[in-house]
Amino acid sequence: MKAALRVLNELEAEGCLGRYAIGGAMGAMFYAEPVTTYDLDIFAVLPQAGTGLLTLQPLYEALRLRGYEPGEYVMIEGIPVQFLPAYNPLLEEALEQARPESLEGVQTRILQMEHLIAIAIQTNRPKDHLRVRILLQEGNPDLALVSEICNRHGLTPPVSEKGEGLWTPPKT
Amino acid sequence: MDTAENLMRSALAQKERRRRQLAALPYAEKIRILLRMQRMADAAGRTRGAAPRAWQIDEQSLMPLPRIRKDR
Repeated sequence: MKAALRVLNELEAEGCLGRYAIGGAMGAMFYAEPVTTYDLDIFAVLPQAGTGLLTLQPLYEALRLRGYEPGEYVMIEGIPVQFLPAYNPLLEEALEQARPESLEGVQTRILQMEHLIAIAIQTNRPKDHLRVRILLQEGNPDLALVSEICNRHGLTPPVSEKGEGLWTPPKT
Repeated sequence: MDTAENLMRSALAQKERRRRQLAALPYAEKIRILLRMQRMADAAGRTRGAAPRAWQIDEQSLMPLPRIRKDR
């Protein structure tokens, strides 16, 4: 894990990867109990191609030069890493406000819990519903901030600012 | 004498306390627990022929296991 984060830090320093932060289950695990997961989800600002489209190409080339073969995920130093571009305003804001952390001396960033909750509400899969519940129960989030983020991005907040009401996943 | 309802309430409260204790652990410790859970899941998966998925990193150092470390 530490070696994989060092590689990500190098890629960011070289400009192949924009600002990055850990999200998904590994991000949520920072605030809540450990749950079994196998992917390290890395949210990142990607450089724009000449066409103005976001592209993974420079990142993938830099990874190949280091001996890591990109596929559905990239196995970096024993960890399957999935790169997820910040493709909407919520993810861009989450990345901007990600908190710097150190994993036993290796610097990294982790998305704020309140953003992880909002992203899970937006993504809206069954496992996201569970993640919202776990973070609300165990993470002690700033509910006013969760509401603020949700309102700003057109999402229904999971609970009131006073913690009233239980979050119910929207019907799909 | 405790009723079944009281026993259940107490058990659930204990579980809740345990979850909060786990949530309060340092991130590195949680990753070490995750590695153990992945290896347990792999052991169960082997019985039905599933490919192993546990991260190939050392539990103490959180660095790659020697056989996959690349020369760089």
